Amino acid sequence: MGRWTLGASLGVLLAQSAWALQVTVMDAEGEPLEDAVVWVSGTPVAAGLSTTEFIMDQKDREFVPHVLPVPLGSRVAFPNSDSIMHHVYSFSPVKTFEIKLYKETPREPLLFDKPGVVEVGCNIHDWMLGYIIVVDGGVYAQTNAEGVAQLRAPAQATSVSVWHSRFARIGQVENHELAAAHADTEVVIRQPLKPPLQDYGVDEFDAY
Amino acid sequence: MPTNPQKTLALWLVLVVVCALPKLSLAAQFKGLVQLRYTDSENPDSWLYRGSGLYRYSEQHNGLTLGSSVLSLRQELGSAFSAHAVVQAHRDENIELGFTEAYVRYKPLLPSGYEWQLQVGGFYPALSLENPDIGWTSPYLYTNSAINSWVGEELRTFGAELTLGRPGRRFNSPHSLELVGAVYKANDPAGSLLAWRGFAIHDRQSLFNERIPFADNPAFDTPQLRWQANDVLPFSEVDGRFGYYLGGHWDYYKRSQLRLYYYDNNGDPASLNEQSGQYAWDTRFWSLSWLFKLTDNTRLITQAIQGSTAMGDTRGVNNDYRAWFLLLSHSLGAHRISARYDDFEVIDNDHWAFDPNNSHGESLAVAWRYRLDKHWQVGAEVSRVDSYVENRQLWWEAENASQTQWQVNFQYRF
Repeated sequence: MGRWTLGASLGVLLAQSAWALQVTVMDAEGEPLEDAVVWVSGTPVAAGLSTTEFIMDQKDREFVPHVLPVPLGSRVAFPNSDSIMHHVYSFSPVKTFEIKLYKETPREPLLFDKPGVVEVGCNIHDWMLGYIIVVDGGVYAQTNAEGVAQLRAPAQATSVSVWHSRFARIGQVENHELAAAHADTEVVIRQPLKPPLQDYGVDEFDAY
Repeated sequence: MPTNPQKTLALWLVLVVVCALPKLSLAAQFKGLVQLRYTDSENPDSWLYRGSGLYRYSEQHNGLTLGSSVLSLRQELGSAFSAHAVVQAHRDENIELGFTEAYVRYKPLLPSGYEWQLQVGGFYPALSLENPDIGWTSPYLYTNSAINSWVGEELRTFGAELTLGRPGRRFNSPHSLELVGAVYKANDPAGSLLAWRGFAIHDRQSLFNERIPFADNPAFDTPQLRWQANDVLPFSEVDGRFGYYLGGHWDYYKRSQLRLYYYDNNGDPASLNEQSGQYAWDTRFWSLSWLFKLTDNTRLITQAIQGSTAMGDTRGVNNDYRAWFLLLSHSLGAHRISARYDDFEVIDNDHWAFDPNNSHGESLAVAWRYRLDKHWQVGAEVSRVDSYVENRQLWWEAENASQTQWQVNFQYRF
């Protein structure tokens, strides 16, 4: 009974101390950036999340999703939904790996236990590119088409970390101070952005 | 029985792969397709039956038959190596089964983002964009363009090919570049069919050690051509020299794909294998291919080649050739409609009047293919070819001929 009360009180306390933070991410021209990853460093990872198996699928010769944020210590599975083989690899220092993937033979998920940016490619289909962002915190979100990310930020949060796949220095995460305690924040990316390359559409009869 | 170095090589490759299978944790990847085909083609008869027609089928050989039938195998050998083999079956005058490709590929992972690849064995030079389906088949029409009908029957690399690539996405660029270079043996008689039959319209890919027949040519009764056989062994080695080709690929995203090749088999035209009746031909050409996606569902494919070929110690057969085609293909759900216009020509430059090699023609083809499910596909094609082939006069035939061909195909893919 006592334990239940304590648990409930803690839950209420935590709920009260977290607040709805809205972060809008923009480029230098003030245009909203979709699909940016925004997180609060150092926040605890919810117990359920650390056991979740994240998925980066390979579908129609593309990585799906293109950007996958996962909390530190997560496991990511790489299924293959195509009828052809993929040879998935990463040379990123955060996680270096190589797996040959058949549809018929799924592999064990990989552990991502260092924070940072992992660039994933395929040695057979060289246009395939995906990113796994290992965030050092349990509070994270991706921006929508308006560049807006909604987070449940802890009371003590003073800054957010931001990353986008168009960053010219792809491994360099940016830290931005919050406007004020408990206030919505607009983030303007400091580093140069690469041009968007959304046009790498392929189909089954694109030679490789 | 002539020696078959390519066949021996291919059989060894397959043997190595089969022996290695149980020791590898990764399964081999098998893919294939089989086409059951009903044809209705007009005469003249096909070259496969020693006629002067430009289709694979004819009035004497219409009906139900086996279309493209392909088994493609890919076996991973560790991280960087893979072994590839393609077996095809033909049912024309005889039933034939054999390899159309067999090679080992080495493609290491490089952290730089650049890539390179080495391929050794027997395979197609990647100069065309019409044949991206398994086993170099076309997903668009049931016949190939005149250019690729010829590539499928007389061109194959038996050697080593090196590719260096700068994939655009790794460098955040919409442009991807590749440079290709190859050295090879064999492929000496390439050009024979262009001289004595001309270009044709079909989907038949020559097997590694196949003899491709052509019409019994009265010119072969002359002293000058008495050693020439009434068929060609397109992938045989005659002069002992290496041939080469160089290519460049330039993609803008995957929306525009351009390929430029220069091919020279470096044949010594004075060289002759009296036993097999095969000359080395000095065959060289430029090829330019371009694929452009007008929309996500509509694409244009075009290709042009221009080249020359010659045989005999005085270059007694000496021809230029050029051909081009334009293909439009549109997919609508499970349907795909494709149309192609072909124009082709062989120009006789020598003074052997007893052996006329001039030919030219035009062809129009329209095909519809409908995917019933992931295995079954049904479709039909109608095409017409109007041709002038000068040496038809040697058989007292009209030099001009118009042929129409209908095909209905059932395809099973696995």
